[in-house]
Amino acid sequence: MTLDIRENEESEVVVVELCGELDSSSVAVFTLKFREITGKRASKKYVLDMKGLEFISSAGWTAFLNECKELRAAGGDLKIAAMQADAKRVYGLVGIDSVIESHEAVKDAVKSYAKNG
Amino acid sequence: MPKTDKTGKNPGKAARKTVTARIKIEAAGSSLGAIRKFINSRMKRAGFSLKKISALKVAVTEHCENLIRHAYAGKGGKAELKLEIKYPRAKITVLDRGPKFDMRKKRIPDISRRLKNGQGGKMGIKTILALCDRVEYKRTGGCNENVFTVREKTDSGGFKQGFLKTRRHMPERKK
Repeated sequence: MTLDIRENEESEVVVVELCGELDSSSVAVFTLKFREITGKRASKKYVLDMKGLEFISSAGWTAFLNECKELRAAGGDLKIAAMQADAKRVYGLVGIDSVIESHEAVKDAVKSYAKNG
Repeated sequence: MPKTDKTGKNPGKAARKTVTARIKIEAAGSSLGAIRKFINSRMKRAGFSLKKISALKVAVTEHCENLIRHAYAGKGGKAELKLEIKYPRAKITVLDRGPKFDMRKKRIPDISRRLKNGQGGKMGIKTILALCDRVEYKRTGGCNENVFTVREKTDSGGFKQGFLKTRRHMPERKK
């Protein structure tokens, strides 16, 4: 299964929807497409909607960390939402939870930007 | 009444016999999806929970990504996967001709600082060892054999179903 990436903006927060599988074979597609989106948008506040992401390996997590670092350096942030159970398990296991904020629902992640400013 | 495991699943007739399957793959990123499909379909058919199927899929993907990147250093090579299922246990052996490497002997670094600096990497082995119930390694004739096992928790803690239930209803032995 390939990786499909869609974007939409909700009150200054860009939601990027990921569908399919993210591993070392599709990570280049993610990075390319994500940078294309961040390059054309003024907002630096992003939420990755992982509801449709059926699989993610450490290569995918590494890509998320890289993009999060870039966005923070530009004064923005990257949050993740709607993770599937198996992704959530690895997210906590390797310690990504201490770096990238996650929310159960996309709308909660979007709202959290308003709270934090 | 059909026998069920802790998750309420009925492993079915197919699950009670040993199922073996093999695939040969090119050690390339394009093979990873096929590997997961191979694991998913057979374990699902045998009645495994999504948690255990996912654990094996993640572990084997991580291992194969390491093979592609480090053992074959991006130059390509071949690997063979042997899946052996006997519910509640699923075991997958990955054979490759890369340099000798026993991941169990590799020191797992504290990656918290790396993560905080926005760097990934060094997550694969930690993930594999945490998700699998058992990881074995041996080197035979220039070939690495990594064996990853997951085991479904059953009502009887891994014993044949019904075993403890029967014992519980037996009268206490006189001392």
